[in-house]
Amino acid sequence: MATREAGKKMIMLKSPDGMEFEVEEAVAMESQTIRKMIEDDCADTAILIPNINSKILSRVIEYCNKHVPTTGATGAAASDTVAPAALAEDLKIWDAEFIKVNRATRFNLIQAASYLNIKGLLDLTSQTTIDTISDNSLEEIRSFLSTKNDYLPEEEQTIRRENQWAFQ
Amino acid sequence: MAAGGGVRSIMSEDGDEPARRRLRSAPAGAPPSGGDILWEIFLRLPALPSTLPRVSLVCNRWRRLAADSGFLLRFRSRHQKAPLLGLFKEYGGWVSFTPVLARPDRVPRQRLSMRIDYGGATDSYPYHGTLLGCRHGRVLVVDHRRREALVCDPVTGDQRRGALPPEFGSGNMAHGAVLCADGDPGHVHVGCHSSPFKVVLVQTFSRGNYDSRARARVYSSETSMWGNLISAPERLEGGYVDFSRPSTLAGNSLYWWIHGSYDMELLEFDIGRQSLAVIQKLPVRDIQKSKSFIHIIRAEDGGVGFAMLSYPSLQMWDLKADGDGAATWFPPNTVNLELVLNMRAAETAIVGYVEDDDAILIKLNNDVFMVQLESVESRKLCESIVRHQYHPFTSLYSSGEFGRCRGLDSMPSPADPAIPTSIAAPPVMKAPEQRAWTFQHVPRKRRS
Repeated sequence: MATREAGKKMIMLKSPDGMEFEVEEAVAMESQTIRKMIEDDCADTAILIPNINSKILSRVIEYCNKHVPTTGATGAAASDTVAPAALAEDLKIWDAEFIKVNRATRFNLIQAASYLNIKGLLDLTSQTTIDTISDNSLEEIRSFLSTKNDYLPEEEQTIRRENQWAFQ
Repeated sequence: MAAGGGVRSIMSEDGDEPARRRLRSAPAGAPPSGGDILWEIFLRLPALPSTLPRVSLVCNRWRRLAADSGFLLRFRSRHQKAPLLGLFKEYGGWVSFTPVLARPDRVPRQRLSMRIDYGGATDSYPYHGTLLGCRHGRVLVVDHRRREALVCDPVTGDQRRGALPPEFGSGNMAHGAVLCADGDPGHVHVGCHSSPFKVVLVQTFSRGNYDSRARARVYSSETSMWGNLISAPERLEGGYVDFSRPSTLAGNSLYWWIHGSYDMELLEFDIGRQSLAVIQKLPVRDIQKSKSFIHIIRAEDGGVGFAMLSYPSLQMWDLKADGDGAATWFPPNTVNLELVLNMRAAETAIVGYVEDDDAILIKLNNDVFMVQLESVESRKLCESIVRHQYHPFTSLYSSGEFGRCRGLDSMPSPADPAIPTSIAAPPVMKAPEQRAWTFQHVPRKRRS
């Protein structure tokens, strides 16, 4: 097992486009999928992450690095010195910056978070879309998510009639 | 690559989640499908009634996804708790629904209200039926005229009828409760439409010489049978089960009040043990005067308690074991509601209890408020001049149901040839007395 610092196990994550990322095991284990592999002893030192390109994988690792318990923004042990509330506030601001990405990247991050089973990242990346669905008209939802209305006019009328109250 | 380490691709640890199942079978490099992403997003949508109908109108693919049974199962289990859609009350032959959410989540009154068919009786008074309770998405009504119990699912429109056992249908008034009987440990009571249910009936009866007893029977939709008669060992000095308010589920037991000549007592039905007991007198005098001001609630520790209103004071009593292990009413927590509601009141009453939210419903003048008992936060739900007893209805009303939903506005008329004149024979089961009791589906009728 590769080690970088005393007592810290390292894991190699490899993207399908050939990039390799050496990360602390604790960081990789933010992903429940990877955690399960490590706990089941299925991972030696390198894990191929299929479907997730290096650009997205690096962002995912960036997120996990930030969110791994007992590790602060710069990788130093921050939770010992910083109050939990301040740390939570710091994370919130960091998350808000992190998610300022274009739609394609956000969808790729959702895919990656779903596949790697990283709950916090999945919640964060889904939220913008959830807000869009919750707060906007149907036309705005379709336009925002590039979804085409493929209902026949009479079909749409029937569905609207069934639950007219939900569209008021 | 790290020296000596072989590269292994990630394997899905379980086959439950479509995203991973698809990935495992997919060649490396194939992205998860868009449907999987939508699934994850939809799961995080709020559990409000308008959410999934709105999503379904975006396009066919979204509609299919929002109605998918696997999706709905996960949606329910993720949310754990259903919103309070509104309140049911009995009103002249109707089980009438009052919505309490704001638009667009305000499911209309006519969508969930139900007209109960009391065998052709057209006059609404005297009432031919009693709304006994509402729990886990189902409503229980007893039809005195036909001596039947009705279990209705207001969301799907499903109604089932079954003959009352003889001792409960022959003049002795019966109280009762309905509850979901889904034994799956992962089941949450937010959409129990297809889950089995139980009906518990209770009553008191006289054995003469001032010797009254309480007894119960349980119907199980899984066996389609009424179980054996269960009697409470305690002797009562007269008294009857209070019909003016529904049961309360606390822990694994259902509770009702028994009104005696001088006291009020708690009747407890233990669902797991299938046992009935008269457990405790209320530490309150002047019962008749107190009647509209008390309600059985869940205690802080999950056991049973009661709330008593003497506006602006609201007391909450818990039944706990004392030092000797005997059940005792503990001195109450008291809240000054005037500080919470900021209202002076000419008329006050407790008019219901929301089990899922641990909140009581209080009528203050012409307004009905919900007061959460732990946080003491309050919210005005509706207005009412008349003092009704309300039956709160919580449900995760979702697109899987709305396609099948049959509100009154969509019911066929009695003259509609689509309504069968006879009902297909249901499975007939036998009660211990060798008499058949059946719950069968009944066709629905349009509002007249």
